[in-house]
Amino acid sequence: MNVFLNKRNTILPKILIGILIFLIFIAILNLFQKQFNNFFYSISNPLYKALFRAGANTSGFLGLFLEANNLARINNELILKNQELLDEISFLQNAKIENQALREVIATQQDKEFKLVLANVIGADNYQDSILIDKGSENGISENMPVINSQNVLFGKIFKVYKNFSKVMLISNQNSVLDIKIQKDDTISAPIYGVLRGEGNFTAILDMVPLDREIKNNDMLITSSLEGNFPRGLLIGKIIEVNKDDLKPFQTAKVGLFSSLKQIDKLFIISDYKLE
Amino acid sequence: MLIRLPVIFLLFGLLGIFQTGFFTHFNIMGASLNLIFILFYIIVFFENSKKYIQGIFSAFTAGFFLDIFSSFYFGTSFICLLIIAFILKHMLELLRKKKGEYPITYFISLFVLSFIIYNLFLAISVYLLNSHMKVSLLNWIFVIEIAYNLLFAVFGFYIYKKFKLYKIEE
Repeated sequence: MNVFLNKRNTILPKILIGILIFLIFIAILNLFQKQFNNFFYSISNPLYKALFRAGANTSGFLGLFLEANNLARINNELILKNQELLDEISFLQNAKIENQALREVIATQQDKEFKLVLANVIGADNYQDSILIDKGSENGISENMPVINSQNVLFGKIFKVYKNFSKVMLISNQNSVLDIKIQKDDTISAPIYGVLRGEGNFTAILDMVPLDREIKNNDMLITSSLEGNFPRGLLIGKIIEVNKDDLKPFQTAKVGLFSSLKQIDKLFIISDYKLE
Repeated sequence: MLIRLPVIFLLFGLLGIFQTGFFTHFNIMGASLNLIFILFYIIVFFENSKKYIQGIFSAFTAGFFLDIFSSFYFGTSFICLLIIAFILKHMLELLRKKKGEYPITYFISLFVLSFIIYNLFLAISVYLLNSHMKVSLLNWIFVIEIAYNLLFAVFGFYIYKKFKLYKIEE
């Protein structure tokens, strides 16, 4: 009996000491979390980068097989789209001439160029709708800087910065909310504004569009800069399905984002954007 | 055991890099693969239900890498996986008929249960601690995610089983 009690008496302190050591260990890990992560990303960077590219190539190759049946239809669609675009080019060329003349007069600062930092994508976290890039605090990166690609497509913003790496919260992240403007063909009617909310799983929806405003499929979404985090005019995506319910105060729409994981390799961080 | 533990550690690290590097391009309608969780589950499932060392070590290592690749505080995934490991051990103790028998039906049902518990725990953690992770359990993408992960887990089940049989024959 005494032996049994003694054994119990010795086990309990051992468990408590074990838990205490574990808690201290976890606390130390958390205290140096940024350094740990940076160290791990640094040593795994070459393999990480190679695998990310290999994954993109393989999925692109497999995608070709899966899309083979649709090639004829896509081709026809592209021919039609090409015709539309040619028409649009001629219209824009006229607009460009007018625009240049106006700029010279107004000397607007809207087209001021931003300082961009080039970054390579080395990995992604599907659970968080975030990506890892190879630029960090050493390269002048800080939180909330916008991240775009060479076509001015907005990917998201920096939300975690390590010494040599950063994490980008994609606009499809569930915590991402940004003000957008819906690009319409006619320039006479008042602009339509709304909110883009990330839904996770690389999807997002358009919300807060008044019921009396008309939006339709293929309408383009761009940043409005109202919330002050992103410069205006960055491309976001296009509407793919409008949901209008008279019982609800606003209409919503599914959005096809331009920021696709398959098309990213190099991204740019706008490092000097400030709300004017 | 001394060799096995470092191998497990390296395997988790390697799978983590594959998961966040290579397999990010293989989402099915947004549903993604969690190779680290799959390996952790297989190790715990096949470990003798009376032994805990490998399970605890796997929970710690898998948790460590999951936290590194995500933006969680260190320890979050470990605690979650440790709870799952203990639940699994107890369930297996109740379910397993005789030593060495690993029916696929148990494997599948327990995997689905563990995966739901894991995501539920993470959802609660996100709500309490961290705000940068998605909390989407009640949608059809989560169902696809379970099926997608299960497919790889079953594949792992047969590989592991074959490996074990090979060892016994030896």
